[in-house]
Amino acid sequence: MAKQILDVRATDNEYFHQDFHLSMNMLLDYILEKYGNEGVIEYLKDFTKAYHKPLRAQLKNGNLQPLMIYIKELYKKEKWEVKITKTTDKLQFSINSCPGMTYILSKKMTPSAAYIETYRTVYQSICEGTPFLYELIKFDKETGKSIHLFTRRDIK
Amino acid sequence: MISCTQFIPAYSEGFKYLHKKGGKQEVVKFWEVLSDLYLTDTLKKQIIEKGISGCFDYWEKALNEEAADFTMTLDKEMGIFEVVMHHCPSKGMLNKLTYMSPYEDYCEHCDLLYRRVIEPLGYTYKIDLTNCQQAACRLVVNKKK
Repeated sequence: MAKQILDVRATDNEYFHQDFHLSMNMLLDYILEKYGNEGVIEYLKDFTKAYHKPLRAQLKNGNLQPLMIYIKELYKKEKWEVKITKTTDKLQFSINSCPGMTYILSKKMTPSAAYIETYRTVYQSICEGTPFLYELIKFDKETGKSIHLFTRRDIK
Repeated sequence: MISCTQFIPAYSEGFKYLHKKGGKQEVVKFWEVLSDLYLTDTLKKQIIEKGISGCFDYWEKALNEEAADFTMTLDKEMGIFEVVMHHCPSKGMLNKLTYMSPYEDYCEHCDLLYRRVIEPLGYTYKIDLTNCQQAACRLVVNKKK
């Protein structure tokens, strides 16, 4: 029998491996079980300060535009609908469900009880040390349907 | 939400967090849990159902979805499966994020996660990570004679 060979270049495919949502969920559950919700928050703060360093630097300039571009791109990559409204001082976005939680549920798994922190802690940490504040207005723990608000601190 | 397209840096930072909490052994413990939870219904199931062809099917899906640059070879007659990773998308992404430092033993998870599933099923699993800092590696699965 002949050998079966598959030779693939990176440019042949789109980068979209949704199973990573499952691994992320397992990581959250592991940290939650061993170190509690405080552990999850600590981890996500570490992650945000490292990974979102460029976005945080841009927000420090007092302009919400980079955040809007970031959120648009994030959901575009997830092939997900997001509604965004923005003024000079406020940015609000809403989703009818969370793409990560939806994928986890589609695989008959349960989103981590700490999943909400991938929104709350991550966005709070993005805003830390910038002129903006983040509020999680609504969050449905079953679906991730949610509303998120960023406002300039001095107009609160 | 952390997008599936942002998972790799989140994964790497997760390893760093666990290392901070309990050293390398805590990271290894997590890899063991992840291997048992994630690969049982995927890679393990496919190998049990299809033999060494299950490796081909598992990595074909995963590496295509991850937009990897690779050459995969299956020799069913000889019982050999090989992946030559010319450019790993995960390590490649971490190398590109120059403003953050990846977990120093990041690539080792590919050794532990898969070996833990494959070897008890009657195969040997070898991974050469000599060039992993350049996002290149080679793994070979052999059916035990």
